[in-house]
Amino acid sequence: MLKKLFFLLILFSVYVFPFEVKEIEKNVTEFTLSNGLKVIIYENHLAPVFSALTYANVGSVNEKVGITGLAHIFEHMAFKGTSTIGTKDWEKEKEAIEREEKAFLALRDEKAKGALADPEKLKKLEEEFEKAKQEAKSYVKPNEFAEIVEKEGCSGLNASTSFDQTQYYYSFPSNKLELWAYMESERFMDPVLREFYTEKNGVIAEERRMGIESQPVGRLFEEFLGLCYRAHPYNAFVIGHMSDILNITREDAMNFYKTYYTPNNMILVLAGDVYPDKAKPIIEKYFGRLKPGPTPPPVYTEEPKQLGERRVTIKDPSQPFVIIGFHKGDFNHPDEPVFEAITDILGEGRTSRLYKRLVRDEKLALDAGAFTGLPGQKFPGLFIFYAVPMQGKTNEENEKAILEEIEKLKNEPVTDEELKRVKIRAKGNFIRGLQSNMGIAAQLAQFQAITGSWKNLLKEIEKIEKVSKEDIMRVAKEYFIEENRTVATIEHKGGEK
Amino acid sequence: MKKIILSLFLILFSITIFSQEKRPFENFVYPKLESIKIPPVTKITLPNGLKVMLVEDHKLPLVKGNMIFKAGSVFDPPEKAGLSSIFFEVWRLGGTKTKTGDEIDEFLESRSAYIEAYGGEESGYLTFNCLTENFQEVFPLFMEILTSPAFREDKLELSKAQAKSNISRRNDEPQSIVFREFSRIFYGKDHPYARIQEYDTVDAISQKDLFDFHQRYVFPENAILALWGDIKVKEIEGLLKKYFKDWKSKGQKVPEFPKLPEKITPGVYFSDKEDINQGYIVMGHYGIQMNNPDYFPLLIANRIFGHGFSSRLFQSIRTDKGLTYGIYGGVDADYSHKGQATIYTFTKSETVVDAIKAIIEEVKLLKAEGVKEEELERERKSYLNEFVFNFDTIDKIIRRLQTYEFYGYPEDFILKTKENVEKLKKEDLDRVVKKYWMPEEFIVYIVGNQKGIGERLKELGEIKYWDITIPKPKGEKAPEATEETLSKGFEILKKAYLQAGGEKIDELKIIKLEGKLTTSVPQGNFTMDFTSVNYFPDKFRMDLKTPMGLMVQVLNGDIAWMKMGDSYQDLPSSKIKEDLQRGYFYILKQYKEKKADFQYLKEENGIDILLVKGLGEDFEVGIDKEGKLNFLRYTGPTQAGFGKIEEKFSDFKDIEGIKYPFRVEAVVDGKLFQTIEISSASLLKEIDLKIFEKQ
Repeated sequence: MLKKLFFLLILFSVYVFPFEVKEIEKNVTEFTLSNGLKVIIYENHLAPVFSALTYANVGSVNEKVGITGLAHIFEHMAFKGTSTIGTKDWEKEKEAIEREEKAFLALRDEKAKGALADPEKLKKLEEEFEKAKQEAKSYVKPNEFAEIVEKEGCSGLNASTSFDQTQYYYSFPSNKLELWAYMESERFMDPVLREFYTEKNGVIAEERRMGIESQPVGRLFEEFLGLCYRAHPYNAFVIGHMSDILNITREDAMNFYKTYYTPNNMILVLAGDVYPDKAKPIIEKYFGRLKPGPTPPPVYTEEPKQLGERRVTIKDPSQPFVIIGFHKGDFNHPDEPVFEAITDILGEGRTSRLYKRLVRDEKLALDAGAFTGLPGQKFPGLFIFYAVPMQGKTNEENEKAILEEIEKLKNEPVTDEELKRVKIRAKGNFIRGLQSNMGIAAQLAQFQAITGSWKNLLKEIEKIEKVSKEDIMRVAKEYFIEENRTVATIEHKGGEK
Repeated sequence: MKKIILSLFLILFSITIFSQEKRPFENFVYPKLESIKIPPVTKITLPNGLKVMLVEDHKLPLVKGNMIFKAGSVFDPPEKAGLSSIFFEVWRLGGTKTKTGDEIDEFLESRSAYIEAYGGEESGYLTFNCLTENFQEVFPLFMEILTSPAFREDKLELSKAQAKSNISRRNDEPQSIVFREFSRIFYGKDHPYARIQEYDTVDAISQKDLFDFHQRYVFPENAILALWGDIKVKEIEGLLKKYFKDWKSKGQKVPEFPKLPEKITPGVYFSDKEDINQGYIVMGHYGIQMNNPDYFPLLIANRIFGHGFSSRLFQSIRTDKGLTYGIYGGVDADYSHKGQATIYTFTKSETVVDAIKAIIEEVKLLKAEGVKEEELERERKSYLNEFVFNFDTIDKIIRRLQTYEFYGYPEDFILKTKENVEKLKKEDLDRVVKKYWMPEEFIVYIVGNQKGIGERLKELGEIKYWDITIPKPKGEKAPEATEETLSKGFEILKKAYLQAGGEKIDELKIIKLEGKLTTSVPQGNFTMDFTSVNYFPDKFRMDLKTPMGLMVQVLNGDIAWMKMGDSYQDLPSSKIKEDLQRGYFYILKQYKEKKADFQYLKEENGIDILLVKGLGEDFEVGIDKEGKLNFLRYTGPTQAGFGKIEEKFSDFKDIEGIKYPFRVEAVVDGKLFQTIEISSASLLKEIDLKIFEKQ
């Protein structure tokens, strides 16, 4: 009954090596180009593919009033091509884009007059802008950037913007390294923000409606963050305020790009079938073309200490939901591993305290948990608890149970078993994190950017192993206090839908 | 002439130079891609009939297993919809004969290991994932769950309560509504591929059902096990033979997958969701089964039309028109039956109609003109170049093989697909897009904000209002009706009928009321004036002066609508009708009309309680010893979702010989939430029927 199955391309090979966290270090090569661009390569030759991630050390946290959403808008624009990719005639397109920009500014200024705006003039400006937009569009070869890379076998082309960073990622068959190096360097060297107003005022506005405005939990988190942060830019969602999205100009975006998209503010990570000695000259050849710039300005604003509990309740046709947040430090704060342990004990899996009490035993919640890492990790963030009440149960009952669990954490040491579990799971999760090239690339980039070296990734398990019962009680007592607390809820109102 | 040719040549030449200089990637020469190193997959069939697939992968110290069964929601009995999904959940949570589910949780989580079970439409899974060092203790536990589950009652209750909570939440997010309800429109609400769990069907599930399910579907010949990772195939083979020695089939037979309906009912369907500012749209009709040779040309045609950044839909609807953030469309294929050819997108309320029209134009264009040669070449090249990503992890390879085996596809189906794609010609694609896309046959379903979309919706043709109201639970089971309880109930109704006015009740045709309606909300009380006209049996109008302006609500036979300001909104008439039938006169009129049964239940504080069956959902009516209607009890919408509502009648006054309560209080959980106080009531002989029509 035994039958072996061979594919056409099979080349029998089995790799055997015992697993050691330190082993990972042997697979990593790092170097820095003369323009300051940091490059990290993780070798994994099991399949002839690689994943590439460009980490731009800029996120919505770098935005100011009036330009919220800009980091994300630029991310979208980085797919629009260059002066040689995506155009039918660059010289003419360039002029048309300038006319479009002028027309938009005129329209925007008139609109900004509000009630005093002249309706006749508005109508005229609207028509002029529309005309200029269509003209600029007539020179565009839409989505050519994507077409070129996808034709060559690129998979998973995408990007994401968060509070702390913007990441661009895709995977390629490993023989396409040069194409990747060319295209990726080109788009950050010579970006053309074409179709800017259609993308931003159309596509991105829809993205905001989908993610926030038409989504009960999206609406809730937006209210919640605005309440938690009154000074620090973590207060506005990455997507930005609708009015900012609509009013941001191409010039705003170019200025943002010039300030933050310098090679000295970016990291490249490749993970997969890449040989560093062969890749380095290619990377130098193409990315060496990026011109370094001044170190981007840091974020100076600090969130002042919260003085009393803050609360918001949304009356909504959807079902109840409660989130409770406490301010805490950033990722490099010495208490961070303690918070990771608390996350695990309170909120991970079916042995966690919140699951056992709220979900399993008291049936107060359909789901309940705790997590850290929002809004971001570069600056002091939040420790968040949440509960999704069971039918017939209330937010208050859930909030009360969560607060009681918090008190328990302050007053009684966690058990040996719980602490042991945290450590074992940290190891398990770490190993599982190594299953995908892109997963590894993302971890290396994050640690490089936020802690100053990717090597700190390997020290994570050690740090969590050092967390003691006393640490947990101390941290709970210090942070989980009423005046440091913000609560946001959805209360169901009428209707049946 | 020569001059022109010369300058043309120059232009061409200069373009070439431009291209080489500025677009160097066009001349890149790529090294040959190394062949893919796929570790061998060992396939064995154990003596008990279980098929096993094994792969060694020592990259990381992890071992994974996945057992797939032919069992899923399509086999759920209609009155127990949700059974399969609850079975798979309680299978794992409910523990085994020797260990509780909680003990299993502790055991696994202190080893960073997982054993989980999931139920899908046509298949269910039992899986594990552990570190190599724990494999020897995790696998026996996996076996124990597989063969001797306990389905403990406490976990069944938890799972049922969670299922019901999920039902109560299922209309919160537009994306989940649009796909779920599209399926229900497509296959019909009661079809196995569309049927969903409801409060009553979940309530009907018992522990015995779970044991029966296990007996019926969990046996070696109905399962395929894939096991891979940091294992030695030679050693594992022996181990498996030992472990599976006693697990035997008992001659069970699993049914074939249900047949799909032949036809769908095209049209434009709409559900209103007031708290969103977009419309979520799915439109389409049947697609194909994957074993159809047209699958190959469609694979590439779909990429050209609606899959990915370079597709036409993405270019047109997103990039060019800026109407959406996400769009996807294609003639999709399923393994076991015809798939759906659908297009999905979402856009702001104001542009819902434009987006739908633009999409249909794209479909028509594709059908009329076919694809372009360069589109075929681009997508073919892209498919072939990214082919390697089908083999870049062992997980992908083995899961695909397991799926092929499960549905009876050849194990090299993916390679056959590649060969076919290599051979495709433009005519092949043109033929299939013409054959399969039929925009005039589309079901177009929109979940949107009716107010936001406004009158433009009508541009799409006749709109069918699709009711997504969550059906209420039937509540506790009443005792069986007997002749005795029915006749006693009818006697009590007779007393109420005579007390309230006797034959005058039968003659009553139109009643007009004026008064105040007070609603209690956490902020305080809202009082609004109202006028209502009830024209028996099936016409009703209420004019309510709300703080936001006049609101009119009308039922006119099978049509119901609401008007606020200048905008109309259609309402599900069946619900409004049901609400009316639960009214004072409607109940009393049953003494003569006899459309309903009145079953005597019990006496409570001197009040006789009757169960009313036949006027919509069952409800209770309380009648005191004098024969006065004292209260109604039913399940209905409250501020906290569905709940038990009690309407109390008081302040009875006489109108032309008929007794009528001038005060009605609605109470939920002991709290007053609505009061109606009548200031004047009059009986009419005739009324202008125009008041029941849209103006």
